[in-house]
Amino acid sequence: MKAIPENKTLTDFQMFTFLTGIIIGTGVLSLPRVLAEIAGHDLWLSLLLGGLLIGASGTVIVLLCRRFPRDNVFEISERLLGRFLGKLIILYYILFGVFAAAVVTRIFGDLTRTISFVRTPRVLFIALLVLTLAYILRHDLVVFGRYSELIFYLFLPTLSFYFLEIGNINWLNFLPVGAAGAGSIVRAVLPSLYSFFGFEFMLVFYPFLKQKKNDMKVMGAVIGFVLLVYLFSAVAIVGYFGEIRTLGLTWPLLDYLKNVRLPFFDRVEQLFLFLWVQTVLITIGGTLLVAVQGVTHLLRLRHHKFTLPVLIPLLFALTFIPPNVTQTYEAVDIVSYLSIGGMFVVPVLLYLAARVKGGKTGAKA
Amino acid sequence: MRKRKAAAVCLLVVLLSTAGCWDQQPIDRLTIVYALGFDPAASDGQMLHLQTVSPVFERDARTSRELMDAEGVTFDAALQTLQRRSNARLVLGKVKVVALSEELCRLGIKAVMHQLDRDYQFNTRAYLLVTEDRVADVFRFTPQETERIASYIEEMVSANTEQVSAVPLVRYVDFMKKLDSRHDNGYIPLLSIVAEGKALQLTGLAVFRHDKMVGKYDQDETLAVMLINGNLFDKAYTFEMPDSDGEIVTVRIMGGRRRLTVADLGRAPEIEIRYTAKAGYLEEHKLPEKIFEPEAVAKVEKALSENLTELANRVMKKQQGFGSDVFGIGPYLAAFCPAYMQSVDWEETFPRANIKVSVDIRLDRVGIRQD
Repeated sequence: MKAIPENKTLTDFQMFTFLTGIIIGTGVLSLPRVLAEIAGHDLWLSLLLGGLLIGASGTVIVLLCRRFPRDNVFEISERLLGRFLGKLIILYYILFGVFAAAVVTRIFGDLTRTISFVRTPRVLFIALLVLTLAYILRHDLVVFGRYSELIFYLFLPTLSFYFLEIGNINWLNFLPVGAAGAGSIVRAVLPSLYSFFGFEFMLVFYPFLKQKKNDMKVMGAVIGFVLLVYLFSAVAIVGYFGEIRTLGLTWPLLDYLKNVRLPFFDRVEQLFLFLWVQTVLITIGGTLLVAVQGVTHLLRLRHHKFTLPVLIPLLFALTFIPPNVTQTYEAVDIVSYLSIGGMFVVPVLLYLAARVKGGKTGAKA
Repeated sequence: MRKRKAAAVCLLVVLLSTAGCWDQQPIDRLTIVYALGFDPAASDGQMLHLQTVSPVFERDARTSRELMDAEGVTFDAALQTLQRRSNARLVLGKVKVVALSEELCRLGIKAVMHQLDRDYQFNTRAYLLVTEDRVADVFRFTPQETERIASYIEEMVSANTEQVSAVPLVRYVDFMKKLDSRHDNGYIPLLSIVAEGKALQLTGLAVFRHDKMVGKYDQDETLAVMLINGNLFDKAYTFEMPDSDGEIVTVRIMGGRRRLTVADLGRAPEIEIRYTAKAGYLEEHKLPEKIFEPEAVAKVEKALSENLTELANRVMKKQQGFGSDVFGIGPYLAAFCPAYMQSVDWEETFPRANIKVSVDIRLDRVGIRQD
């Protein structure tokens, strides 16, 4: 890949906000229930274990990227695995990017229709979202980076919402520690891993990082921050509702926020939803951008904006395939399984190949 | 130029099709429900009588509240009947009070509570109350101060619980947490029409076993329930000093700590609950001794501790008779003695448990008068 001009690169903070924006998508709304279904009140242990595994994978990703600082995963895989296997990996990223973006878009549409805008047609929400995305994605990544930075400042105060009901948290809800048993705690690690999908896109966007010497710090900050947000959310919700009630709530985070009151704001969950929509835009945009970059590389296009006339309508059409919420969540399961490939299989495979073949090492911008 | 026109048309389409057009809710087309009330419409509880209270804001209206009622097999069915009769859309997002009649509570309230749970718009922070009389009668009651019964009840409950009464504030979400708990049971404040139908008052506490009301407590007993739970803060308690010619003393208990210790776990577990608290301000007393003297303070402390110990143990026995643990003992044992709790059925074990409550109150402020 040719060198990226400095004015089109992302600062450390922009990369941090971009990746965290991708990760914190729709998963955060239902994560406590999904984990509690398997690990009960020990869900926080599964999250910590999942965070450790993600940390290990993040380290492998950064070490791999350091060997090829100017290349993204598409170029690296073709170089290390040959054209055929390399193209298979590119195809995987394209399909994953489009499907994952479509699933998140659909969940967004379903949720807003259930919670806030009951009568507004789903197609309208999705069309508005996709049009906005098309507008942002036409430009270079740096525009998305700046957008993510701005949204991060808006979203950050919402973390304080988790603490507003801290007085009503019953800590007995977390005792005895380990009651679920080691097997259940370990089994719940898998869904906790899914909730981190997005950090592995560093493999795609690494060449855009301005200060590559800070790559490990950026990756550490992304994973650490997201883990902290998920832990706050899981502890606040299970501590407040208890394990059994949490299991009965589709989106426990919204139910929790429904019971939080600010002296000057009555329905906090509506405020949260308004801000959350912005981060969902980053999740969908960032995920679709992976597919966009993949197609651009595959077809050797001059700019990724030429892929949008095909990928945007495709995304729009895919969101309407599941007939109901249940089937949307079946699609979520499929995307979750697929995400393991990008999070663990591809990075480890490429890293081992790089070690065997001996790619460039220690190259830093 | 053509591009600009196309952009302008696109923007116009987006503006016109934004969500507000579909989900607009003009306030004059809404009936905002402030209170929901439930009575059984038949003795078996199969039919529900739903009563709603909504404020009326029109200046020329004859009354400031609108009472509506309907019957239905479920809450939803009754609500739909009400909706058909109403000239505006019923909105449950601002419900302040949910009142359930004692008669219904004794039959079970699970269905009603779960139907409210499924309505996302419903305000889960609404206060729950059990009425000794029919809810319909309570909602028709007109206080001297105002016609707005829902706001009146809400303000009365919050003012009482914050300043005077030991009766706790119980929100819908608090009760649901207990209802969905494995070992815990809930309670709801009791509201009654008193003074020969001239006043509304919080008279105590209704206690539940799962979703069914199993008993009730008066104001003093309610204080003991909250004390055993360790949830007593800034509440007044009046008692008679023994051997002192019927002297009455009022103290304000400023909040304390409960410590639960398990002496033995068996078929009838032996559990000790120790409550220690500070109390201040002897608000009313005519003791012969000067209250600033250490002996006099010690005497009041001893009498108060003994009085509350006796009351708390009486309440504990009464609650064991009801067969429902509302003191959080089950959840405590499940957290710290999980193996034991897995080996017993707590609902059967709790009534035969040997539970002793001891209360130790220290006076740290004795007021501003020395005589």
